[in-house]
Amino acid sequence: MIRLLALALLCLQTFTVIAGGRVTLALSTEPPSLNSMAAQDEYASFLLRHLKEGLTTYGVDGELAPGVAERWELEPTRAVFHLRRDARWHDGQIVTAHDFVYAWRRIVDPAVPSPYAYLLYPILNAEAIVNGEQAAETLGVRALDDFTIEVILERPCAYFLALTAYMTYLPVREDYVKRFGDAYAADADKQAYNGPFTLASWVHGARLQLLRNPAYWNKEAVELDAIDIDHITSDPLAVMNLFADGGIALANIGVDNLDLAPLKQFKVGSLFFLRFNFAPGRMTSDPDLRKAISLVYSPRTLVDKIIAIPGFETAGSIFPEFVSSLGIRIQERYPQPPVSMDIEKARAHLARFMQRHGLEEPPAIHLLTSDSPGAAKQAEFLQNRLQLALGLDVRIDKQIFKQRIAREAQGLFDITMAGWGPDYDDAMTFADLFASWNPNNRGGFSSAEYDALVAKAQTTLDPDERAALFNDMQILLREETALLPLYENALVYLQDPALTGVVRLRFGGDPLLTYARKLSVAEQARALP
Amino acid sequence: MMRYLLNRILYAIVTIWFVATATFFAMHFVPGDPLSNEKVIPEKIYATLQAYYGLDKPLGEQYLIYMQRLLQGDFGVSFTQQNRSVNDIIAEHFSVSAILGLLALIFALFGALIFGSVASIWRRRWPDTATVLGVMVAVSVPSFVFAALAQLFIVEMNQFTGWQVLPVAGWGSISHIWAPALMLGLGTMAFLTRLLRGSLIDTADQPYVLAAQARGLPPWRCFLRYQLRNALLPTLSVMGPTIAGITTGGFVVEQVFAIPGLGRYFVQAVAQLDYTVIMGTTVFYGAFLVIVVLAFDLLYAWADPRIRISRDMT
Repeated sequence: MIRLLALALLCLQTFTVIAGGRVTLALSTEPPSLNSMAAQDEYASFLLRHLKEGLTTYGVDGELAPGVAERWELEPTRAVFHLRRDARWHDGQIVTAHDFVYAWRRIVDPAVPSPYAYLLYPILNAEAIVNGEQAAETLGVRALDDFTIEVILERPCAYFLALTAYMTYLPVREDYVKRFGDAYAADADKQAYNGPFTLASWVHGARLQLLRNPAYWNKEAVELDAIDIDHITSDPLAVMNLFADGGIALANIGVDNLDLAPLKQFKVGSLFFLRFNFAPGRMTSDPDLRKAISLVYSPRTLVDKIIAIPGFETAGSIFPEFVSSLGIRIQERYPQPPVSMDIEKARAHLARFMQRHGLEEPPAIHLLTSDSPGAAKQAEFLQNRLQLALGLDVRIDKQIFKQRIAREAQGLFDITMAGWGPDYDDAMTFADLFASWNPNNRGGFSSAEYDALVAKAQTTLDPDERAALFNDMQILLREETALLPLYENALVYLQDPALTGVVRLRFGGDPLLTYARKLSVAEQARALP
Repeated sequence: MMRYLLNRILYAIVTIWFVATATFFAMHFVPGDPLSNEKVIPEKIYATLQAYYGLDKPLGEQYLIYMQRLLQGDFGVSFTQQNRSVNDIIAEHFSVSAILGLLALIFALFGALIFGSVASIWRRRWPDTATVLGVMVAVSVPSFVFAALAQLFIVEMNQFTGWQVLPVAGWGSISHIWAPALMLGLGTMAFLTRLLRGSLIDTADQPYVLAAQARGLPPWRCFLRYQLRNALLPTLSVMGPTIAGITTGGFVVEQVFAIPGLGRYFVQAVAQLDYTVIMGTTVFYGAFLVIVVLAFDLLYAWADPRIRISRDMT
């Protein structure tokens, strides 16, 4: 009985602490690793955004802001970062230029497996080092002194500053890597933290606890005392129940719970599109067939009736609505609405295609898709439209993740339903997707003209000129029907009304809770209308 | 007896070897690549990763290396849970599954004992009918439905009382364990109830029970001493697979209640083609099943002299 009472008291105590500035969350998957040099998933990105800080970071407005670097000078192929003197690791050590140089050199070192090493390719010699042609010391980065970093770029790079906020560019303490070797960052106490929070505990598969970092230089901006990730589950019903019970402050919801209120939405900015197989001999390498396919359905019907999730938008270009280049939003300056439905024109294209190939019957199309219920619904919609409008026999090939990737890599498809999320804040993260040299160009689209436009945009630093180049690219892709943009996605979620100041991010680390806080009961009452 | 034991152990070793070998090759023939991802990794970086995980060697050589490590009890390092050894993953998460499974088993046994006895004593009357009906529902409804219903019930209960009577999900304190353990145990409870009811009804007509009744023993003593004791033997014989099943098969319940059991890692590993984790968990589960079944066979032989004698005679 006494034990029971003690337990009850303990519960009460926890409850009062919650009101004082803690937020509890659930993650759908445990991050595979919190090693910034090896991580490549959104969960690690979210945690590392709160645990560590790079040269730049994201501010309360969601825009790029000074991080460990308090100021910088950017030239076309050279950047100098001046580090603040009060940046500290959680154990009190000073964050120095060497912590960055060490991490970056290690990432490109071919002896160390780092899947995201290519994000460092804008730096001089990075690619050559990864390919084993040069020594890691020749990487174009050096510490001029403890607080100054000089970066030499391979070529002018308009988005280099945005890259320095990404997790791959975070500083790393050499002594921790030396001490823990392969186990570096595998547990809470096996790496050093210089971000707004520290990782106080990590029980694998169960929970992670982040506490406010007293050594963080900008600790005054941090309101929350703790972020408790108490649950790791990908079961949507469990997440809903936890939210209903007041156990968690944020809950992403799927298409089944759209009747709940008040829903919030965030346009993520990922583009979903049909990717065609351009391999010689594939029917989809014929532009007339691709054009015919692009004209048979109404993008509005797909988004409003088939997907039917608020926040999703139709797409007409490879560049989603939010994408910008040197401060210019591409869709604002050069809007490219979706292709509108035109069955007559589609049939004319199909007739030309059949005539060219001497076909009597419309061909069978192999449509590769993932096994998610949403993707299946969209695939069936397209199948139905292509069958009704053109008489095409579309065979849907539903595959689980790894098998789908394998089939894409082997080119076993005519059309595949693809998605792409931005890696950094610049139109180039979408544009080079269709460059012939890009391994992510899995359909094999190849156009010398397009490659030239990409190459030119890579080195152009004039905002107007560069935006015009991106417009040329989207026009070229439209004329060739190199892809068929379907929609831009959104995240629909519930949020505890007591939690405010959550910043949503598109480029790694979402949701940003550094500037969030929990309203007290009195404040909540005042906030009510 | 000794020879029987040695024989069984030898069979156990061969079984485990076969499981490991079959899994190894089956897994490598599944299309897909553990290192692949939505975004393609440049060729050189991919080659570095392949070399790091030893995937650049021919399959036969990979198999020999794996078996060599396996003999030393080393399951290797996970592909997806970077920097974590598979041995650590198993040790850390199987203990969670085992605690949950053990409590579920205790629930199942107690429930089966009570419901099975009630059903056999009031045979063909309403308690029996109700039990049989309940058993049918519990056997045919999948555990994730029960788990989800239980969770909804907890949410409603907490809201109704305005007090955190039970946590909705999670792991770490004793209060987290009750609901998932009960839900996990339901299927087993139903199965054991049916088994026990059947064998209790069988023993009811046995001569030794009739003799005991004729000697004027009180009915409860007849039931406990003569009927139940004998009726428990068939239950003992299925305990091996049952224990193995309940401690390793809690994946769905673990998923709904956000419990860090080993099942989640196993299922994730298969989806992600995490070779080392697939191998580690399969070999571990296989060995666990073989050992538990063996242990219970021996226990059964010890408990029931008839079996021991018949084996010694053959």
